[in-house]
Amino acid sequence: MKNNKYIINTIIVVLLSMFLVNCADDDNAEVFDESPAERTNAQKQELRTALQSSDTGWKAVYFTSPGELGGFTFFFNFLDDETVEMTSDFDDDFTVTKSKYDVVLGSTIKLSFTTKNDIHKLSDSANPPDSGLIGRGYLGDFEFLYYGIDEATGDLIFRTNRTQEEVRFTKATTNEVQNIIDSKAIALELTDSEKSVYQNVIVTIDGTTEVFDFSLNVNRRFIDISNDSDSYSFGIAYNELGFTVSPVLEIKGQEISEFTYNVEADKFIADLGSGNMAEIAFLDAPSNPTDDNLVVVQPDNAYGYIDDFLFDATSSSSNFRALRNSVNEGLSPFDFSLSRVQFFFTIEGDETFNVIQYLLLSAVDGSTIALNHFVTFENVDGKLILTDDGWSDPSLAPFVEAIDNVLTNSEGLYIKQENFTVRFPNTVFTFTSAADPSFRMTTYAFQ
Amino acid sequence: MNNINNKYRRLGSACVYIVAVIAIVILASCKQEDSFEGSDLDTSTPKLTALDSYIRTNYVSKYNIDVLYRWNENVVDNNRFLFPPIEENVQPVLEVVEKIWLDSYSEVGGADFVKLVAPRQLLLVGGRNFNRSGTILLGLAEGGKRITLFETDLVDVSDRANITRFLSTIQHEYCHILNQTIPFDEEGYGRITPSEYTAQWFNTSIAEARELGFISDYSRSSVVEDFAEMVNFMLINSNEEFNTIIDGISNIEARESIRSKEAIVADYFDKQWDIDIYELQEVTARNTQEVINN
Repeated sequence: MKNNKYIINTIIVVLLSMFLVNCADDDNAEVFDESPAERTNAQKQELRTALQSSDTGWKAVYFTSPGELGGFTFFFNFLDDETVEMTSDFDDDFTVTKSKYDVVLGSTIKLSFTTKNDIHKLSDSANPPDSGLIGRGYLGDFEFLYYGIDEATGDLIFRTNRTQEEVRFTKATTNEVQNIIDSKAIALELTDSEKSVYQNVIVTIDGTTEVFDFSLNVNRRFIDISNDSDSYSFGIAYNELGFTVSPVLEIKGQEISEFTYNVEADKFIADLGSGNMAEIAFLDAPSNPTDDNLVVVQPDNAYGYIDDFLFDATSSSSNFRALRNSVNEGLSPFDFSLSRVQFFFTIEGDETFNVIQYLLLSAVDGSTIALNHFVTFENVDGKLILTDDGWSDPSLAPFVEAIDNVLTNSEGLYIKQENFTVRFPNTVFTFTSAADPSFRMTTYAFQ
Repeated sequence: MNNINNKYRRLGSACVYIVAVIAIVILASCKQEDSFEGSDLDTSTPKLTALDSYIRTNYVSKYNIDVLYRWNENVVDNNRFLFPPIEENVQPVLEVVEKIWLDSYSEVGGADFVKLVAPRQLLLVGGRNFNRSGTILLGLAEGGKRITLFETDLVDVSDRANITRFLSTIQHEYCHILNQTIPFDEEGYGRITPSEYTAQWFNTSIAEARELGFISDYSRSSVVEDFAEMVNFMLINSNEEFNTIIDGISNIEARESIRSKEAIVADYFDKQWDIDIYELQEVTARNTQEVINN
């Protein structure tokens, strides 16, 4: 019993001493020297100071949604604690304009462009690159969460508020605005469909050469390249020398991150060293031809260019649009315009019975005149050659000859079944002139 | 016994001693307390631009309405792709809103009318608010507290049609706020054209909707929207213009339906708000004309 009392006393003494030792451990001590509010204020001040620290301003290449859109280059100059001036390569207005900005606490410290300027053009629900992004514009953000300064490069690191895309502000050169202006001229060299609608990419790696079809969505700044075995997609951002690629394009272990424009060769070249390279050039003919010309002439097939829906299609080339405009100019004194160009092949199974039909729409009463150009066809070397076989009303033929001459040129037409649709679910076929590959007309298949 | 008393006395002195020590410790603790110095939070007075001062004078002080034009992600739908207005566009637009909406209601309803029954915030957004379906959202009235106005950058103060379109959003949304404060007779109103309300209202044109007894296509979406559209069309048009619209409808029944709705609207404004809507219509038309003339 006495022994038990001794044990209990000992336990009490041990417990008491443990309590006392515990008390000596001060768990309430601040982990940081400053309070959260003080640290937040300090970080805000750090960002404000950093933003105003560059005398030449900042350059940012912003890829709003890698995987579906390319990048846009911005120039920012933070003048004081609330005023910023900026411009960008979003459109052709390079005026440097002032607006307000603020550094505020969101999910962390963020830079917010609080009144309208160029950066907001990416976030305009009324101005999407195409109908696929109606209501969402270019998926852009104009609030950037601050993630600190890159010690090695001095870049300011941000992530977008909505989608957490990384955006870096790099110190601008003294002529950054001019660089942006120059980059638009470079962009034209890549997007100028007056050269030809055909472009390809030739990739040479370890002595092996591969050819890819090249398709650039100009508004989205997004490229698809493909051949029979491989396909790749990537966004691009123009600069004064060429363009950068994001995500980085990896072909056979080689990474391609930028292309430079070579004026003499009229090519965009990515020189990867050791003889490895990738080149983008305009061509006179498709690099991977199809035999879709054999498909379209099957009995009772019909295809139609419908002006209301296809004039603005990205696959309708600028040269085609120019010719359509010239046809309309000739028709306008008579209050008519070109409404459709339709092909009817092998009518009722008769291979000699084919029609290019021009529908002319009256602005007065909405009626249409169908002007038929009868043609015969041949398929030669992957091309469809249409030959004149008389008109339904020869007196009207001169009105449409600007387009008709191209469609019936003896060099023929390259036909391609496209993998996209325009507004309606109809399959899209394009008709491109072999004599003038800057002419491409877009049509709906009617079967 | 004496011994026990003595023990109590000593215990008492000991207690007094302990209390004294504790009191000294507490007082000493107080002496070491840090004094309060300012706040870690930024409590400095914000810098006011000329625009901010205009808003304080003409909206906050005068009508108890705050105007939000700088971006604040907490008051907008972050799933939408919207942006703040161009700063220079804000004041001209607010001046138009003040003249056509606030001044007109104040003149007819009394100086304090809008002050008492008004949204507490006007939120200005620069561009259009496109839905993914391709339709456009013109405005929002959230719980009677905030009216969001889109398209601030697109207002052209010299173009009547343009101003009318922008103001129609306010007239429509403000009617919702009035209705949220004092409801109208929804049941009676809904009996006039009961079978023509539809969620697919955008499939018919305004002209087609009018032949069905509705003042606009959007009126067909619900009784509440129909009522707000009636008020909107009565206030963005002069009485003459409004009558021309109604007289242009060929279906006699449709014309009568709209006139019946008009009567309920006039009765609601008269009985619930002591406002003669035809007087309000006249004043609003006059103020609209003054804006365009200037």
